[in-house]
Amino acid sequence: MFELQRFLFEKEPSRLDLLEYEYKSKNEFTIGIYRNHSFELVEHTITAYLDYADINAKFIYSDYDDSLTFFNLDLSTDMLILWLDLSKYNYEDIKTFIKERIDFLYKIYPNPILFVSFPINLFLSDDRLINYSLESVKEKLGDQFTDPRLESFSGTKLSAKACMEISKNLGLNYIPALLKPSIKAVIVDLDNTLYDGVLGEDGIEGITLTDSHKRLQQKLKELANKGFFLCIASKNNESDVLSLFNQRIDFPLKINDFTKICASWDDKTDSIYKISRFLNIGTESMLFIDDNIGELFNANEAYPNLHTIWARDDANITLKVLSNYPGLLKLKQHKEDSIRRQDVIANQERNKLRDSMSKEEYIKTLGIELTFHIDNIEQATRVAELANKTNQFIFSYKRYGQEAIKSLMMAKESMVITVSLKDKLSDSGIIGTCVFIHHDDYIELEECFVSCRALGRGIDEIIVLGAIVQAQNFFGDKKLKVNFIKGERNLPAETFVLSFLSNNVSQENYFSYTIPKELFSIKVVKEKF
Amino acid sequence: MEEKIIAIVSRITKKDKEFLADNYDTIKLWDSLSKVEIVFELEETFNITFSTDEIAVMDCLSNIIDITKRKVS
Repeated sequence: MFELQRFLFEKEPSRLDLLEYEYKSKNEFTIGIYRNHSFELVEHTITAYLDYADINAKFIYSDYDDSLTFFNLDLSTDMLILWLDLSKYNYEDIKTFIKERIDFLYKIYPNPILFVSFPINLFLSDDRLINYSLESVKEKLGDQFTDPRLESFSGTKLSAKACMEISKNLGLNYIPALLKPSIKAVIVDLDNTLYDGVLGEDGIEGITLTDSHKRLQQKLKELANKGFFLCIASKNNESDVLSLFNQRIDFPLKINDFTKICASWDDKTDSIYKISRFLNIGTESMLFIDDNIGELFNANEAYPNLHTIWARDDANITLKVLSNYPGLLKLKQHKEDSIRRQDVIANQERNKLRDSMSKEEYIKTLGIELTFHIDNIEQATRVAELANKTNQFIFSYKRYGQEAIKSLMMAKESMVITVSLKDKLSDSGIIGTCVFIHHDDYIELEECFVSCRALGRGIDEIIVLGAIVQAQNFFGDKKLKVNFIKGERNLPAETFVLSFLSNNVSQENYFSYTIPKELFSIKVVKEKF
Repeated sequence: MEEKIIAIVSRITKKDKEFLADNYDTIKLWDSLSKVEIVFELEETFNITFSTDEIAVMDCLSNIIDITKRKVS
């Protein structure tokens, strides 16, 4: 079960070991490589890393093209890597040239682009593409970063060691971050995972925080600060766990770093279920770390899509796996990342309020402010992120990239409406998006997705239907057609569609809705070009 | 050592050891990227470094074995 984890992080596989590895994943993707030097030496050793991320990639190569014409570029690939050796250029202003060519590329290529250049890292301060800097590889390898002796045979100045490092970074971190939904929550066991020892037997002062466990805790704290939910699933008494974090002031992790603590003698699969319900996210977005392989096995049997790390006695290994675990690299930081934990905790308060009064009273008490933003191009990154990680409340799985969102915002016949939510308890930021296409005499709701954090507050209706009303007002058409595709996990969306939009699914019919303005504070911000 | 070299070439090129042994002097049994992989692996295994000129002529098994043996000794 954890063979691949051990192979990659404990065995220190040789180049030949990596070269011989074959995909087991059935999750097929295509990756375009547009280049002016060889990428093949990276591809040779990337398979095991991509397999660990459950990606089976087929690479499609361009010819070597210094002029970046992008002729014959395969536009159907799931992502593109722009792989450039800048030493081949004599231009003084290489940055301007590359920027111009990338601007052209944006016009023809809709999916994510990863830019990798050397010998200098041409950091392009542009939010439309991701820059992978080779500086850390260069720093690590020093003189061994390049191997000019082999260039005429390999087609690149990069050394074998550099190519292996790049394979690892691309395979475990960058490519999964661009192709797969990210992880949202990390659930940790306590005994022999966060420290050395067993709390119930060794006592609070008896357990040991080794240097490597300390670094592991620091890494987890860093993830919590980046917006990942950090939770505990431990077979211990809850009071002991709370005392542990209060008394062990040498622990980098504090009780406030955790969004949910499940410490009991219940089965850990129950704890994982409780955490999943509490956070309102599916187990496919969760990573569970435990030293007990039996617990991991049970958890994976109950939730086959749950991500798992086998914590080792040597916490350095656990740290190495965690630091490279696919789905944990955040390529962009958003305002929503820092408020996510606070928002989920506020949900507990909301639930208490909801249980004690009528729906109308509850909504009024919360003092909800909704803002409908029409075609706000600055929100494209956040919208694309939400489009790619929402699994429950999503209508048609369009999984737009940032460029596609921008094109939709800029085109006359389409419109992207985002909904921001704020109440007395927290500012949730952008929590939903509707994408509309205007046809001759009707509006098509091409896609709709709402963050799980906003669901269950009794306001799903106004978020989606309110956005439809804004589009109707803008385009002046009352007929609506809704796209809906039933997927594995979008039951909340299906229930919603059946309740409110059943007459409009796949057919143009009249639709009207009156926004209950007396319950909410509503703001509309139009930014249509 | 010869056996070890043949095993490395066989793993990289995915050609049987017997086939390689029967084709000692045959050129173009592998492409330039496989040749680079062979060079990497031999350098790593025997802790040696080939020159560009040596790599240029490593197009058949007999050359690879001769050059590697010379280098190691």
